[in-house]
Amino acid sequence: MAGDPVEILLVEDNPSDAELTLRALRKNNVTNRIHLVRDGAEALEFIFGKGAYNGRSLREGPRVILLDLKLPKVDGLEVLRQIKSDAQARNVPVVVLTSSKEERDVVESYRLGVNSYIVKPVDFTQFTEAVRQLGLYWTLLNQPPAL
Amino acid sequence: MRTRHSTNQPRMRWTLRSSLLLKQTAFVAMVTIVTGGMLILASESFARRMVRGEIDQRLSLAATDRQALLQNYIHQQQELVGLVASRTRLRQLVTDRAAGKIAGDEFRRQSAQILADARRSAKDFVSISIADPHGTIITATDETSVGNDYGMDPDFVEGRRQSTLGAPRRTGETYQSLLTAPVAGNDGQFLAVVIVVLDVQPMADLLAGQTGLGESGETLVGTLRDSTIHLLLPAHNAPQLTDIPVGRMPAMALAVHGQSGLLHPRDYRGVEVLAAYRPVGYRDWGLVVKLDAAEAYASLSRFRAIVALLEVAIVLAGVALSYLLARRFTQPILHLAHQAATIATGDLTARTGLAHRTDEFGDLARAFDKMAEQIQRHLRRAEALAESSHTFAESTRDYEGLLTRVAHRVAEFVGDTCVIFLVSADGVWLEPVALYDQDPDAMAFARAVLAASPIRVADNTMSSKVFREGEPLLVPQVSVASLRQATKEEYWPLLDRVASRSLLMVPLRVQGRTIGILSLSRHQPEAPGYGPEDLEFATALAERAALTIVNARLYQALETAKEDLERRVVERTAQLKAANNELESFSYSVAHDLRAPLRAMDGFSRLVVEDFAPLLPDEAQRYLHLVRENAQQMGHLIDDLLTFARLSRQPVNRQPVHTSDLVEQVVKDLQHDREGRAVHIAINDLPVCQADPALLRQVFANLLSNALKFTRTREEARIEVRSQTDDGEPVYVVKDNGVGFDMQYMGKLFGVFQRLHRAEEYEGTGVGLAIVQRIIHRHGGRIWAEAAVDKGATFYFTLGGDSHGGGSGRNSVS
Repeated sequence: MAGDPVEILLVEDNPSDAELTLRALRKNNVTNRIHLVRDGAEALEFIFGKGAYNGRSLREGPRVILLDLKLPKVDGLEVLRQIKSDAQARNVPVVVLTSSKEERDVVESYRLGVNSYIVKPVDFTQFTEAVRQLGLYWTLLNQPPAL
Repeated sequence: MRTRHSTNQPRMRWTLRSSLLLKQTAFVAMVTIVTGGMLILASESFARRMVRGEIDQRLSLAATDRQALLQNYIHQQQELVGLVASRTRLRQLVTDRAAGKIAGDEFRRQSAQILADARRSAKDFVSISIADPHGTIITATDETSVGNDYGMDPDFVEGRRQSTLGAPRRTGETYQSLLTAPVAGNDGQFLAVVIVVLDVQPMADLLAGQTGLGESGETLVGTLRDSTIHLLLPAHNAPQLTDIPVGRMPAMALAVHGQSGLLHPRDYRGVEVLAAYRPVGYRDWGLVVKLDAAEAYASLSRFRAIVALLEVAIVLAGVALSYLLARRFTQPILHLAHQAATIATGDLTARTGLAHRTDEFGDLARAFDKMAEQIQRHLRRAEALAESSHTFAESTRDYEGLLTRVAHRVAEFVGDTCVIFLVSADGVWLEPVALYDQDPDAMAFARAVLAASPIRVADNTMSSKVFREGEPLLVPQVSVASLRQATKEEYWPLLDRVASRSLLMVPLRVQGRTIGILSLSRHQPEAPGYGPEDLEFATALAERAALTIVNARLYQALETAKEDLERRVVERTAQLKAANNELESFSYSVAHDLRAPLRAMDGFSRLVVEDFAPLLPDEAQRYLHLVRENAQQMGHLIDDLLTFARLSRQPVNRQPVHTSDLVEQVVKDLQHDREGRAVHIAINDLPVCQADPALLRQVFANLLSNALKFTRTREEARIEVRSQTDDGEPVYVVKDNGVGFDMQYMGKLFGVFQRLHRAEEYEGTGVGLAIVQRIIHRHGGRIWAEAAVDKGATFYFTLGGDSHGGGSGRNSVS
């Protein structure tokens, strides 16, 4: 798995959403260095260098994590909790990208220390716009902290 | 109450004592006093009559005696003077003098000698004189009196005719009378009158002499002169009194008129006297012998004193005797009263203790004791009933315990064995459910027999009959043989063993329904048989027992039902909770998962159009466009549904809301919807209110968004937001001049997915007004609308409860 450092970790179980997101990001020339994981457990392995990603270091990225909340195995909020509980991982900005407008999800996410919360709109145009702004958010406005 | 009774008691006793004891004593005293008094009066009048009779007799005797003495004395004096007058020598001298044969001096000398002689012969003669027929003294023993003229003296005048004793006259200390007699010459012619001055002391002594009439006895002699009684001799008690009016001396008045008799007048002193009167029998002289009534009746006063003493003794004895007698009567009455008072204070064990007496008091005491006993028994039963009710009521929650307790109580109060039979659920059997006898052997035996021989309702036993007919059965005296006849054979050993002397069966009835029977029997040899009172008591106990048994059953049923209900509530709650959780996770899933496929549909349709547009015919592109539109519409629908569902769970968080600011904000947010349109929105008079700001915002957003939507066809849209007050309650109004709607569809206006316009005319999910209504209802308010087709619509709503805020704003945004 070594290579260029991963800039974006996309945690998304829905392949359609994953593909649409990747396309939106690409279309907007955000980055190509995106790694996709399909459930919460894999996300945690990737972040903490365990399991399939044994030996992986956070130095290799990601710079930002796009996290869906409804995930198989370990759900998004749990992933967020573990990230924000870890002294090193907590510095990686996490953007929740989810279908849910449920208030409890929003409140809980912010309580756990999410950096941004974006609701995926049904309208693809709006969706693309949201992803574009997200890309701008981290590439232009957000200087990654020194690791 | 108790203390008042006890304080009343002594007063009551005292009253009783005073009324009976005093009354009887006083009565007896009165009777003895009255009869004694009458006796005294009778005896006194009798004694007085006796005494008076005796005194009268003595007075009569004394009067007769004095009369005789006086007559004798007068006669004697008359004779004496007659003797002097008839002296021959004197007569000769007088004759000579009349004839002038003798000189005056000689005559006086010779006659004086004769007169002196005569004076010496009669010691009472004070002096003797001789008057000539004209009354002139011609000679006397006392020379000095010669020449005195007696011509006018009545005694002289009388003396010319015969020998006369004149009325005594007072002369110094003594009383003297003139004693006169005519002197006849030798040839018998009247020549002179002898006048003797007589000392009448002997006569006074004669009258004052012992009459035997006591100290106040007195003899009076009087005559009538000028219509006045004139006393000839002085009265003993009033020596100066000589002339007394006739009216003051009636006895003397009668005497001087020659009558004799007895009289009880008052005398010259005004003192009451007893008197006898007589004429003296000489001239008109009267004689009265009198005695003071006081002295006469003196002996009576002693008699009276003795009688009075006797009377006092009789009264005292009578009173004492009657007091003792009354005490003898009142003592038992007092005792009864005292015992009655004791009973009245609540001590029903008290008895009179006089029941042994054989007199009327004994009867009264026995009746009283019986009454107290009755009261005691009734009270005991009433207490027992009350206690039983209480005990039974306490056992309502313990059905088995209750039955045992009822059996125990009834056996205790009515005795000896008590069995409770209750009809079985199928109505076939009479089941012995409780049994009590204080004799454990009898109880064990009874139990064994009862277990061995069940009773059917249809059986011909006494128990069955009592149950079927619902009427109690009382058998005061039972012979074992007759009992055997009427009882199932299985019972015989029990009957023999306990040898029931008396039987009592009472149905257990509640509201006209018989639920069983109470069966009682007495087997103790010393116990009396059951009586009507026991029947009454057992019936009363049975009533309470039956009611309590039914209550206990109901309670049991209630408890079971309650437990069942509680269990079901727990179950239902769990189910509901599960359902709710399911719903929760469902809507959560909807939020997350339902949108993803829509997004995919929308996204990939878009991608097809973007990436392959040149390859697709226009029709295909339009179809893909429709797919996207529907996907987006579905997305809105899901969003609205989720909002709507969330409203039921979310709590209403009331706080002061500046409604005007909020509405302005909403209007600003809706800017997008009115771009390029002529829209006038007036915001008037919106007070601060108490509401959930986020929810209220949703209300105004939906209503204003609708207003904008349905005014789309108007050249100039006019929308007004204001408030008004109806019956003191603020009402918010959102009014537009849009297409409106038909009021007949009003009922559908606020329903979920209910639309009054076609989708191609006016987009929307049909959930907006449902959300508005739900929010208003969550606030406790009301919402309604007025509209007409093409004439605009007006929505009104209130926020219910304490929604008043205060202050208002006027604003206008174009």
